[in-house]
Amino acid sequence: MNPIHLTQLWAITRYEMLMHWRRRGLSITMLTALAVLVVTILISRSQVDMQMVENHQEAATLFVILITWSPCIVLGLLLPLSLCDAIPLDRYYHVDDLLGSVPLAQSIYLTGKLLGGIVAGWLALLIAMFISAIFWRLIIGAYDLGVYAELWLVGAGMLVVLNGGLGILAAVGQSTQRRAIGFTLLSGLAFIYLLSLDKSGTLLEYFGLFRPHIISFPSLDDNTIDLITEQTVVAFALGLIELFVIWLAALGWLKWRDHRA
Amino acid sequence: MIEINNLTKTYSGNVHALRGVTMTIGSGMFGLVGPNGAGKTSLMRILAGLLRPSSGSVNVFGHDMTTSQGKQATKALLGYLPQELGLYPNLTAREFLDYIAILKGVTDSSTRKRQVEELVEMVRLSDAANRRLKTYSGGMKRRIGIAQALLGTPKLLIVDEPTVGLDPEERVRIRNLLSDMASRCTVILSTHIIEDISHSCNDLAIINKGGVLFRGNPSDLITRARGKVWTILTSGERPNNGLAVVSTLQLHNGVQYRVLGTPDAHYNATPVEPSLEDSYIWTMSQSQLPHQEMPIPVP
Ligand SMILES: Nc1ncnc2c1ncn2[C@@H]1O[C@H](COP(=O)(O)OP(=O)(O)O)[C@@H](O)[C@H]1O
Ligand SMILES: [Mg+2]
Repeated sequence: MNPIHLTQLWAITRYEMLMHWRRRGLSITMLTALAVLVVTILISRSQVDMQMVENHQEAATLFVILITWSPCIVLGLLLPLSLCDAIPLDRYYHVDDLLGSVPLAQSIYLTGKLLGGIVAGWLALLIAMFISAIFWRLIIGAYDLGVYAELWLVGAGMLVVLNGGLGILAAVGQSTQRRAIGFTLLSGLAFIYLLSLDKSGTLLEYFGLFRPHIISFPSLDDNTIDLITEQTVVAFALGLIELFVIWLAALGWLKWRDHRA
Repeated sequence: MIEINNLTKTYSGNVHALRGVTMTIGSGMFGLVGPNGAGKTSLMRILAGLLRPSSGSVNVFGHDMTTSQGKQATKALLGYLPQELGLYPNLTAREFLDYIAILKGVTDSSTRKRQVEELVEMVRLSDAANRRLKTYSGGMKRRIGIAQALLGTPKLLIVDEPTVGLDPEERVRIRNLLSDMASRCTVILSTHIIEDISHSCNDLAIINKGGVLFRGNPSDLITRARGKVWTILTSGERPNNGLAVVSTLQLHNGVQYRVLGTPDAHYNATPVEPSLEDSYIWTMSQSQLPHQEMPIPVP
């Protein structure tokens, strides 16, 4: 790769991230995840022996992990909706003509958009993780921060990469923000429906947007919390392949549009 | 040098935007004049590598624009101001220019910083450069559009209707700025306002309905209309018989019309030296079918 390409890639990533943060979508997604956290706590408080949770660190950790799972999932599912307008907005704002007049390869453009969105999503994740960590500390005291960070950084982190990335790439052909969001929502639901036609449920487990193998609801079997299993690695690897295939399709679409112009 | 050979562009729906355009454009400032819908934007988008011609060839500084390598090579030398200029509303002018500069290949950050500062200064937006672009007025946006086109010291500057929507002072400033640039690079300027090119272009083409009506310098254009421009003084009735009225002036002893064509003897017409605008209108009128209405620009 030419050094100019790297500099271009870095610039698109950086400015894309900045622009995501200056729009509302990402903040709304992050705040929604935090709101879900609060609501889940309020609901589960009455059903759990809080005395016991506050006095035993293991119980506290389990409680934290079980409840933090929901905002992680919410973040992973809402993120595609808040990132999917990245490419459509370039057309909507008419910046695509300017971008077409500079020596910029479509592959660099597309990758920059993808990375910018993912980095922006990760930033939302880090902020949510940090705020909720403080929150937990205040309401239940000590818990295992390592497991907590693992849930966010590995579980939710992979979800952000895969779902966020898919959201950005799949909406490449839409022309407005509204269409992009509608398309992402509908195609996401259609995708889940198609996967559910597989009666064994395997497809849904690996490719379903909830990604149960990647961010599984913690099992309490033997009092240890295993968030990362062999299946997690396989599911993430498969997700990356899925992302790459969609990247190729999106690139093909961009090139086809250039060719038709 | 830019060589355009038998270039056509047909949009879907059988819209013929360009019908076999052939011309050579040298260095300096080149004006592309024509009414709305003439095909100016289509031609410029092809030159900028944004639009694929239907047939014909375009060669920009030796790069064949029908190949993708040729397009990329041209884009590396290009500054382009689209007619429908779009900016990122949530970036500040400085950020936006920095972004475009990197994409144009100005990778050294101190060079980039210096260029951005010089250009915001040049378009007189230094004070507003840290404001988000969504707060900018139309004229300010267009000035940022010009500034981004000049980033990376292009060898070819293509500006599509750069003065539309600007107030007279801004128009003069932009015209002067482009004239200055023309000493360093090839500037192709499109406009439907003849005044935009009358002061600055030594070379121009008039296009209409996708065809070239005139190609040459302003004095050649004026020569064409010599002997066709007259003033007529009447007590009020409008001259007709195939004459095109370009202006009307109320005087104390009647109404003075400036007309194009060959007036009847009874009008007692006085010949006058054509202006560039007269010549443009004359050229346009000569290309029309006799029963079609003449396109007289509304002042
Ligand atoms: N994308 C398009 N699809 C169909 N027709 C178009 C398109 N762009 C321009 N045209 C038509 O092509 C002709 C030339 O347009 P254009 O090049 O924009 O002219 P100008 O810039 O001189 O106003 C017009 O009739 C216009 O309606
Ligand atoms: Mg135009």
